[in-house]
Amino acid sequence: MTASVAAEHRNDPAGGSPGRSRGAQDWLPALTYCAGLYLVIRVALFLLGAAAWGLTTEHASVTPTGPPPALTNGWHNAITGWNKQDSLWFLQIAQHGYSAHNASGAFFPAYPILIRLVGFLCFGHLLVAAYLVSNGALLAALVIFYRLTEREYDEAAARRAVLYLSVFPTAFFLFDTYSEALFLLAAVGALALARSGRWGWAGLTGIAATLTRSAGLAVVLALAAEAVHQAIEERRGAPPGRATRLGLAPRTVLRLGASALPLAGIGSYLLFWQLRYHDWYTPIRLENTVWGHVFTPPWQTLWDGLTIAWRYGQSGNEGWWALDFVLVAAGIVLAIWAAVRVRPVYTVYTWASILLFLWAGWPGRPLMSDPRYLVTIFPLFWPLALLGRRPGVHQAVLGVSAAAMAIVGWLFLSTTLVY
Amino acid sequence: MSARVVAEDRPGQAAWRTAALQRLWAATPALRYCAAVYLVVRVALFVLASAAWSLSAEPAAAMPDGTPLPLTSGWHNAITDWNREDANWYLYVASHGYSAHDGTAVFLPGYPMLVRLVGYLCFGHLLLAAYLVSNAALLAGMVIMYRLTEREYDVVTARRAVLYLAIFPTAVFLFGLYSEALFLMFAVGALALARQGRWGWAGLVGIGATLTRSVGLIVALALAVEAIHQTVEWRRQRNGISWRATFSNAAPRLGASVLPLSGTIGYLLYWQLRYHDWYRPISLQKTWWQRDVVPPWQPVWRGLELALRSGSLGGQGWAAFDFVLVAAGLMLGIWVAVRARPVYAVYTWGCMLFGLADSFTQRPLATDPRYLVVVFPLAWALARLSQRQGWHDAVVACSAASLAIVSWLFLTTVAVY
Repeated sequence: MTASVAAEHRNDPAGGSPGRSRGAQDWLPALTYCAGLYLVIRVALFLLGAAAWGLTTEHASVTPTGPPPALTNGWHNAITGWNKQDSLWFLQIAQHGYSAHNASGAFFPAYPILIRLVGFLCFGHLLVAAYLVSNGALLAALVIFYRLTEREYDEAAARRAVLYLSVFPTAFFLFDTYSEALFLLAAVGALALARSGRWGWAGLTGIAATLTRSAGLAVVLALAAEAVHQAIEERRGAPPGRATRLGLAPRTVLRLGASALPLAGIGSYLLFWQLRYHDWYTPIRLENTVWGHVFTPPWQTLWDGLTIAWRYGQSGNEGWWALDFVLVAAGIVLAIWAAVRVRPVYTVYTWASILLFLWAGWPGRPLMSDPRYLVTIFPLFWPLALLGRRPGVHQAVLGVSAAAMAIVGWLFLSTTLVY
Repeated sequence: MSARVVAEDRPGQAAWRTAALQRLWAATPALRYCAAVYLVVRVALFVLASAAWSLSAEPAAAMPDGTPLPLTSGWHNAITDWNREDANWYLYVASHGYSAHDGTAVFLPGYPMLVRLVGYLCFGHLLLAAYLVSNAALLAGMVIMYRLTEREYDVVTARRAVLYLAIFPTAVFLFGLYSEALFLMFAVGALALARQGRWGWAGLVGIGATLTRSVGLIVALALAVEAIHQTVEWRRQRNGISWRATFSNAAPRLGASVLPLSGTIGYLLYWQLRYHDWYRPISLQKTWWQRDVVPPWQPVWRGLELALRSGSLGGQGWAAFDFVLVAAGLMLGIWVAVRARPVYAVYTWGCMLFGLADSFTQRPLATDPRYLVVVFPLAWALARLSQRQGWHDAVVACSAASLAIVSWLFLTTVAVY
């Protein structure tokens, strides 16, 4: 990229023409579309919450403090019914902070910190604050994802990609009081900024990703890959001459430095544990001692997932392994397509994210939670968006995906086995 | 027949053959599209049943004689799990015939008879036969509906309407072992034939409808309305035509539209001749199935009351579930009443009022959501209202998600039927 091109991109991160008013106009269709989409699914999920309460005998989720929250009749279940599993942990941390005597260390701090902050504006109502943070982040992430897709492909692909992301079978976690939406915002934001050459902001946004989820490490790797890729592109585009090529080196070093910046997020979180509890290793150790994650080669996790799914998939009430495997397999198929067709930065992000979660398998249920992690790997939706150019394929993807989200959401609400 | 007459007939036969081939060729896009929609939803529903079996503790479906069907692990649940509720009754009737000592009489004979017949070709495997009958009828019903919609509106509306029908929240009953698919085929077929002016065929196909479900009576009513409508249109085109000529023009049409009544009468006659009780199929609705005939607005009002009272209570939201689906149907019905041809408005409201008037005491709108799935003009309303891509996407997503949930509840509870 030449200096002039870089300057143009700095003016317009999404590739539009320069100028503030024009820039706002460029963002307006994305915002309108994403807001409409968000609202429809948000309302539908609240209705699903009410229906799950009204039509099943729901199980109360176990709280971090032990006793399950009281289940009470009322329409409020449309909203409070979603407050289960990890949501309860995030709210607990937002309210009481971390403790060395429970498993809270495994939950990264950005989301609970933001809940706490927004909670002050909500007169201490942390559930409302949690919804505001995650849903605000989701909407912002959808808009940025739309603009990024528009830049990489076209507007029609952007609309479909955002739509497919929003109705992915585990997309309800994005709408819920989980940290996935905030992480998605940080990840897609960091990569979009890097693509437009704003490396300082990309590094800083990456810090938010590593402060939100451990999978933020994938953002670091992806930024580094993009830094190298941009250097190669510039080298190819530069006029011949040693001096010019030498001039590229400092810029590349700066980009690589910016891409390493997000490591400060994880570093500071571990430092917090060292300073406060004299044990920086607690967040990592807890993954194994309390949450039962075991570090295994990714292929072994996948193989174990497949064999158990095949063994129990047909048995009554024992198909959870099959559910995990089917969703993860769908993600991996899309990731293979992405590896072949998209820019290296997205391939690295996609596969680093997948390998990271496959690396931390659960022995009893190897692929548990992995379907949820897929929802932040936004490049998976590009292959689908391109396939969806044909109206028949589009309708099939949309219908099947929305139906699957309804069922997985229902299982999340009415059992304690989806998390 | 002389050689000369045969020679004269040959061009006539050729023309007939060409016309038939042209009709078939014209239906190819409809068949291709409907087959694709059918296949995707069919496979998705089989996968859903397998998932429901492996991710929930399913209650066993009970046979009409009270014995529960055995539950066994295996991939076969993807197919066998749909054999629940009324499906059991249809297979029971197909296998054992009617009896004066159980509740079989309320299940009209069109579907079980065909299951029995096709069962002979399936070496007695009635479950397979039931799938073949209902799914083939569904595919045929979709193709006819596509062609009819194309005639009334356009191709885009036809594609959308067929899709919306296939993913309607209670469309699960069209794909299951219920008589809805067969009824849909007869109903849409009869109305489509009447619209083409092929009244003899329309009347005969209407008999299929009345032999399949009691709501087939509404098909007869709709045909009568179309007969009058066509006569009015005919009279308008001929100024000063005499009333005598008008009546003679209307009589064959009206006669054909009355023809379907013979299906219902034939079934009642069977009960009179076999069990000396023609009234049993009607009386059983109350004595065995706890259904009462009430003014149609009463179950809607009671359904709303119950929905508001118990909708937010854990595990007791079934009245709200029924009401939401029926209310959606009623709202679309308003569009049909205002914008569609009278024959479809009469069919739509006749079907809905017929279902509402036959109400369960405890749960006033139970089964009404299922009845909506044969009211095909409702899919036209949705298709016309969702012409913008965003609305279309919203309808597809919400409807498919609702279909998944309703199917899941059908498979994992005993409260959806």
